[in-house]
Amino acid sequence: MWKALGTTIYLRKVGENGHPSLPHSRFLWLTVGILTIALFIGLYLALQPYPSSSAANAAAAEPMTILGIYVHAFFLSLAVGLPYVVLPLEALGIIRKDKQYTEAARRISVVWAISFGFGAVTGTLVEFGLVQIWSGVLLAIGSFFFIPLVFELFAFLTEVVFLALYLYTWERMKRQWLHWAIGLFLLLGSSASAVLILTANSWMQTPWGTGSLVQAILPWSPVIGPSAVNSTALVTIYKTLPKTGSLVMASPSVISSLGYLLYDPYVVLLNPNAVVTSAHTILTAIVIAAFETAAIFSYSYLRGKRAQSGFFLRTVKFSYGVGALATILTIVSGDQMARIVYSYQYLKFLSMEGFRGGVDPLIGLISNFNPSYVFPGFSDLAATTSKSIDPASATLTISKAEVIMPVLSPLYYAMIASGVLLLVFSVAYLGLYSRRIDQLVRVVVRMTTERFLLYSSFAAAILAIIAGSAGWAVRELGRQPWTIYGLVRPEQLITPNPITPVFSYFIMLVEVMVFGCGIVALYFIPTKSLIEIEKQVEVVRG
Amino acid sequence: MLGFTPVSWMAFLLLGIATLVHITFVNLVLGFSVIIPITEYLSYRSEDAKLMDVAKRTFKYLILTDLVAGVWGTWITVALAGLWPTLTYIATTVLFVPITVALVGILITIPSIAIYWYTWGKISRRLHLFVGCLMAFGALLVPAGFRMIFAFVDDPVGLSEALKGNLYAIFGNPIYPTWVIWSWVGSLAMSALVAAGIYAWRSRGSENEMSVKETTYFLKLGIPLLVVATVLGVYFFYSLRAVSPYIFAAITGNLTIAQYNFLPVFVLYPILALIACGSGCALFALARKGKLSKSASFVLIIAAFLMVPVAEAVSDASRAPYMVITGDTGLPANAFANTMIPISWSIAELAVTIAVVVMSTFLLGIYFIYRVKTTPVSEEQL
Repeated sequence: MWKALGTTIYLRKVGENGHPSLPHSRFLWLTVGILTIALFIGLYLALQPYPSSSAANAAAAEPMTILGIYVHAFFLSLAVGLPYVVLPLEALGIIRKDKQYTEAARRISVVWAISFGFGAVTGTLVEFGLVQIWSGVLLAIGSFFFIPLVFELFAFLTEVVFLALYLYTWERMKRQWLHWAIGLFLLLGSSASAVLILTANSWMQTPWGTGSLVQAILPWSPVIGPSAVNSTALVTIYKTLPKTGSLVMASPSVISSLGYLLYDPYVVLLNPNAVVTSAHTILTAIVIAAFETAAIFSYSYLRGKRAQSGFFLRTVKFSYGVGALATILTIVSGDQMARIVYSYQYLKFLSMEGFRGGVDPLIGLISNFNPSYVFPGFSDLAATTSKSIDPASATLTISKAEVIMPVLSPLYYAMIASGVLLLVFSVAYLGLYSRRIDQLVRVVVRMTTERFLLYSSFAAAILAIIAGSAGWAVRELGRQPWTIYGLVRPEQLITPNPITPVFSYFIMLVEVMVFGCGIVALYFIPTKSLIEIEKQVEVVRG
Repeated sequence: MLGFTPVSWMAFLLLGIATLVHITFVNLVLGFSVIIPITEYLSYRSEDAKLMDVAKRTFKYLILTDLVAGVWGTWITVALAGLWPTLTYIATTVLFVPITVALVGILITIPSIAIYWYTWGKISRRLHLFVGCLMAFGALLVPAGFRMIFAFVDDPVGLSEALKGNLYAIFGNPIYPTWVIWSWVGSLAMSALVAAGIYAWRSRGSENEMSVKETTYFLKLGIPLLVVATVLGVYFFYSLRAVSPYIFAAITGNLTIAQYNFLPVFVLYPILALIACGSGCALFALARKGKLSKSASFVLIIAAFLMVPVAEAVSDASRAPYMVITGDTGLPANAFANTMIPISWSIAELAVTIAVVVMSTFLLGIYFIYRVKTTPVSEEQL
């Protein structure tokens, strides 16, 4: 059997049609080795006991959910951010009749398409996770997600249609602006899709339209928007969620017998958290996409392809510029985001600042324009729990905030530090246009601004990913122990079917493999397609 | 609308439209995912390089159809989450095992399609065929999982056992095995016939050895499979007489039980099968003489392509206005749709209209891409 296996995975030096074999057969052996180890880990996990409670079930499902969302976010940040690099490049190429800018836009659009493809694949994984693993979400939030999801269907389709058209009509349209306009619709589709999904996520952070329901449970919370819900129906569903599933299965009409749950389905779109989150997240995606583009082209430039050095350098400068502008806007929107957290999720604010209340001149000055402002601390909030209709949940929320502080605060400051460094890089970018800043850059780093941009683009790409990842972790971890802040907890939403260790492990393995395939595709497919384009040109020109 | 509220009407149509488009293209993905590795294997066995070219050219159709199917699959999951929360909750809880089977199938198929394409000719034959087998296996798993959902809503066997924790009781559904086998055979037949029609059509009167070979190869595969699929399809619908009398009444036009008459659509299925079989046989006879007919290939493509959505429309829409059938009645769609929010008829009609427009634009866009992709680039354009 081993011999047969060895024969099967044996790589020939040269393929059947003369193509070279895969570059590194050792790489394949390594992959087989890793997969074998993965199989043994799977077998070991198969012997582990099943989760015995809904809380244990939720805990078992969380790692694969977190990993899936991060893998999805990696590709989506490129898919959402890259249009903001590609379209200005293409426009510049058309206005200045400069083929280098057009070529750069075309190359980056291939990466954009691959990111979109893998974003869709990983999105399917995340969706399955949502509907299958966290099945209670649909009953608990289905009505609030209705309008964003219906609009998202159309935004997603717009994105797909125009992405396909945009890619296949490159240089096949006589009117270049028409091609650019197709790209603009694509940009609108992808951004709208992101806004709508983030609107749904923001509702879980600040359940807008529930009025004073959250305040009744967490007395320190403000009123969250107008009261557009049927409180009786909502509380009935939420309080009986673990049992609601069985009730629904036994009698599906039980839900409709409760009457309308949400009187104004559009209220979800008016959530201030959704507006700020959408702006901040899309800007972060642009920062990541722009600095990654700059880093890739810097690498090509520094690797020494002199024949194309001018082309690479111009693309680096342009994408770095987009990243710098987006960084400044991201910091502005980030400030607004922090104010939303301060207003609606005060405990998260304390945890992420690593602050136990009292006086902090800097925080007081930034948040209230008053350095001597006295912030209520955990003990002050604990004193209010007696006013809650569910004191146990209120107390749990405070204790959880204290527990996660040592994790949340470093993540928050990692995001802040990354943002500040990116701001410094963005200011240095102005050295291309300002002699004084250029001189300052020369004094500090002992190289020209141009050279500094080339090297710093690698650090900027990494910092942008750190800032984005840490920021999202703060957002999601900070609402612990709630899934819908103040209303529903994870154990109420998890499927009643046991999430076995093997299932969780298998899904995580697949997520890692899809991520790996995506990274390989992001490298190989653009390279291959460019080679094909060049071959096609050579063939036609004879 | 009879038996519907605005939300349930909108939800029924939006899900129905997406399912029709998705399943039509998914059948092609399934069929091509199985046919291509078989073709590759046959080319190695017979050392026929041209057969290898057939496999490679057909693979491009697999990628295009996978794109369309994937997009509409995403639409379905979002539509289910937003429009059918109760139904989705029940399905994902009771049908956890078959949905996981389908998910595993999807997760195997997507990367294996990519790996299969990018390693073609670059790794050993055995290893490449192994990847192809994985691709085919994954594709076959998808209907094996998802067909259980359809079987369950036609006849909710095992619900009480599932509520007690026995998630495998649902596999006792009597229509499930026939439906899965019919799906497999039907998708292979449809893919082979559509491929045969496209290759014959694209020769556009300038037949050559290659186009005749491609057409003949796919017809040899498609016509016998079509006969088997049609027999299975008719048997399947007949078996509903005992299992789901309401659906059987709807498709036979018995309005004493059913509320809608789907007999005209049902009759269309065997007619399309006959047309596909006839045009396929005519094309085969011509191909043996080294000729191909443009009109016969056109008829073949249309008939083969429409068979799946027609059969699907019959089996799915005939449940209306119910979502789950229990004998000669059912549980109304209203009970499962998102009835917890007020949506007016005008909003529902607007949403369905936009969906139809967007879907048409999408399909036209795909056709346009197909045209652009297959039209050679001129020197002037470059």
